[in-house]
Amino acid sequence: MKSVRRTWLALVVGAAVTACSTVPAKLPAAADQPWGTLATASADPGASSIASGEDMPTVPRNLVPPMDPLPGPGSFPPGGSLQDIVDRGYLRVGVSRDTQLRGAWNPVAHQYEGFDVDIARRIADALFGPNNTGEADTIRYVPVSYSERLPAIENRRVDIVISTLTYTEARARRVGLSQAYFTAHPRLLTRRDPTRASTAPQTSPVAAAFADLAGKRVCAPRATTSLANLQQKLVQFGGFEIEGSLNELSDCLVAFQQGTVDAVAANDASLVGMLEQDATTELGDAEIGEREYYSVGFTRGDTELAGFVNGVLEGIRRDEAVWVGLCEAWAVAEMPCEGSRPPEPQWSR
Amino acid sequence: MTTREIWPRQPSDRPQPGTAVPAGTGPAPGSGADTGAGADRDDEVTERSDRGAERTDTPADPGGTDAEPTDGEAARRATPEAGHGGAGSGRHDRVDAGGHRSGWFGRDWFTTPRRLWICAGVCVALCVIAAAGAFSMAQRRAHAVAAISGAVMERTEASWDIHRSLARAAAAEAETFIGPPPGGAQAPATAPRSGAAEGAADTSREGIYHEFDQALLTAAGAMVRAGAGISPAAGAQVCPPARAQTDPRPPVTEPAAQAAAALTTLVCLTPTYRELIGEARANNRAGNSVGQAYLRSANALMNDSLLPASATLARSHTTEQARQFERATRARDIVWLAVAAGLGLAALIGTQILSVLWTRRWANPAMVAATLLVLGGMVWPLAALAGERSALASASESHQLRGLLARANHLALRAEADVLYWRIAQGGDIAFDDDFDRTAAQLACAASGSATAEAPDELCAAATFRQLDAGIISLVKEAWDAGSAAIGSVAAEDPGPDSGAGAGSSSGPGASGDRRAPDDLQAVPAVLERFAALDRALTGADTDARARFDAEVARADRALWGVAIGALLLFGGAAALVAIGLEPRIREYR
Repeated sequence: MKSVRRTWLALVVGAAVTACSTVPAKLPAAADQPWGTLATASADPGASSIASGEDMPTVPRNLVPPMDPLPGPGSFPPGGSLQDIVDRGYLRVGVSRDTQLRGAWNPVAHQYEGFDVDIARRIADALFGPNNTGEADTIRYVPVSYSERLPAIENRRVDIVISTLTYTEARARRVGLSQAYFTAHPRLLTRRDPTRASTAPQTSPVAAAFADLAGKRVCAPRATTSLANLQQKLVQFGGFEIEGSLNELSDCLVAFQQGTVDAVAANDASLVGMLEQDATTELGDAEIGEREYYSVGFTRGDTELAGFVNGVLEGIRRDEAVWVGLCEAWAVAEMPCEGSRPPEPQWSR
Repeated sequence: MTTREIWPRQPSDRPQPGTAVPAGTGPAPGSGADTGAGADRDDEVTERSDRGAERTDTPADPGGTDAEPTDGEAARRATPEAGHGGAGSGRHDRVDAGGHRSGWFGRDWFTTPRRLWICAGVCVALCVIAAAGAFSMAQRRAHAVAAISGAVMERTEASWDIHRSLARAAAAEAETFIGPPPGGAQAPATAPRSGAAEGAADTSREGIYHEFDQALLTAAGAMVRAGAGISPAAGAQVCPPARAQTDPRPPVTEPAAQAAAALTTLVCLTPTYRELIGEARANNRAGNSVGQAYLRSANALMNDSLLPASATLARSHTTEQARQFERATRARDIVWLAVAAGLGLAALIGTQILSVLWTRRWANPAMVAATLLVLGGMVWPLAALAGERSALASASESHQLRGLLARANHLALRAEADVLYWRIAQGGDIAFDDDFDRTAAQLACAASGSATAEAPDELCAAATFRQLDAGIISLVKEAWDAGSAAIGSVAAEDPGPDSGAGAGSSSGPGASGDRRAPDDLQAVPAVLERFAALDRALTGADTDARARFDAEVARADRALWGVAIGALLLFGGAAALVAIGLEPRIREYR
């Protein structure tokens, strides 16, 4: 009798508990995670620590003397960096992915192309020989943004970087830099406006250029000498705002086309590529800073690779026909090759 | 003459039923208090005759079996001034010569009819409270169940659809930018995803464009559905900027405002996303490198603004869904109903017992019927609520499973897009390869629970729910492997810096660019195929879970069918029967 009562009691209590409990319907933790942002590569730790004054362009100096004559394929010293690259079978080159006419991915031709890419090809040809099995096997391009260029070398993701890398003292302390292979001029890209005229007389073309930018926003990619130059000009002339958070020059062009910035500050070598892509833009006449000299970047202290790269570049510089041929392939009217020849190198003793 | 004066409550004074009280035989008024039952009755009769009594202290049928014995009220009758409203009465309670309290709430106030009145009042009140409470509770639960399967579920699904469609659009667009490799090699896009483009065999770029358009169209429709219950006034109605690093709008913490702000973000920025994609396509076709920058901007907009907004919206709706589940199965409803109905039942039973004691009647059919109705009114709703709760418990499991499947689907689409965008960018400031590793691990955790051996602990920390079907787990593994193969790794293919350049140190953390896409042209098609299969499996599982969910919610709805009206009728009927049953007893004393 007792057991029957207990059974009934258990049934009643069980039913009551079952019926009484609230049904939890919150999603399980595995299904209710916040939507994370995309993983971003770590910022260039050296970029922020460099004072803008130290990151200003200068003529390359104290350069590792070039190999002369250049050793041919198969004659590199064993155990050296050149032999290692040859043993690997390909050269890892850091290039810009969207600086048109310098280094950019052509979505139609499905290949990287531009002046910098041609220089890289020359170096690869010198390493592997002109009759190598094909570019695809001797060069592997690693697209890098401006802020990734030095870390890519430091982290040994690439052997060399050829990506409109301006020579500065601060950069030369972080990575090895070659002699200059191109001279560029800082200028402004603005919207084409035939009716525009400077409202007030200015003491210089640069002052006039920045007077026109009063109250406007100017874009320069982060971790570039153009941004450092622009910051100096802001102190000097004032009156405009800087958008310096974008990673690539093409991001500046997007911002320009979207109307969030009014001008883009960079070297003419890079801006002409934007000029090619947007017929509503024009290149300012005034040079807004010191001339900049593009170098090839590589691991600091690797004198073997430095000497080899300088040997290749010096060969191109000395052979005017070769240099002009390379330059003319990517030249536009707004940036004639005459003003882009590299300066006389200053070798270390 | 008041009722109190007529019905003394001294039990010892109670005459036996059927005893007739001879008129004019009592002592004279004021002859003394507490002189015995006979004296009381004599007093009553004298008083009645003297005052022309409106009411009698004996049952209406003094010779019948219903006759109510009267209690003595000798003291008050002996001292008329002590009675309520009597001459010289400055207060209501008096103490008679025998020490008995009279007047309001004194012993003599609780006469039998008054007790019956009180019992009847308590029973009726409890029945009415139980009726009203059970009715409103059943109605509220029925509405909550209707919301679970109707409006709220619709909005929850819509918010999942927004996320799924946007992620699908992003992945589809990435395919078009990979495009066919030069030399006429096979195009990578071979496997249409499920959903809008399912069944379509179009492998051309236009086919992918169509899929992109369909995905955005689906997302737009889902936004309309998801926003149906959101008040525009609840959140900021200012469109966020498309390119800002942070949202300049003031932060909102209230869930409704967050949902409104998220919806505003989606409505404002989806056209911007489409515009950016259009620019990217146009520039890409023209061979302009800025096309990739537009694609990056669109992708950043998608990942930094649109998808988080849709996740916020989905979270808001799933929280609302959980609230409806709680409304529909609130524990205190059952406790409340059981207590109210139990008290009513106890009151009815108690009244009948007391009625037997007071009136010497054994059975009151109306009260017995009322008791049965209250019993029914208690048992039926409780049984119905238990059935409803059981059905909703099953529905909740299906709902949670659907949430998990939606999460897995979103992660799968993100992982697929990571592979495609990495193939496009192959480096850059957004580490798609790292994101793929993280997302694929989260996907594996979501599918396999915490038993995923491959995923790091911190990514599996939240995976304590359950495993999905073995087939889905297998597809997740295959998709992960295909994605890893498509991204490739220098560690697998490249001698690496240690053995290659001989430069010493290896790549540091975050050196995601060490990876290099393999030359295998079939790597991307394999990824698309695996992820499409996974997408189909997840969609199929969601369809099954939806069917189960609908069936269970329908069962819960059926369990509640008629409960509100039934409870109202049962308890209301019981209240009426109480009145019907006790009214003659009380009337007997008039």
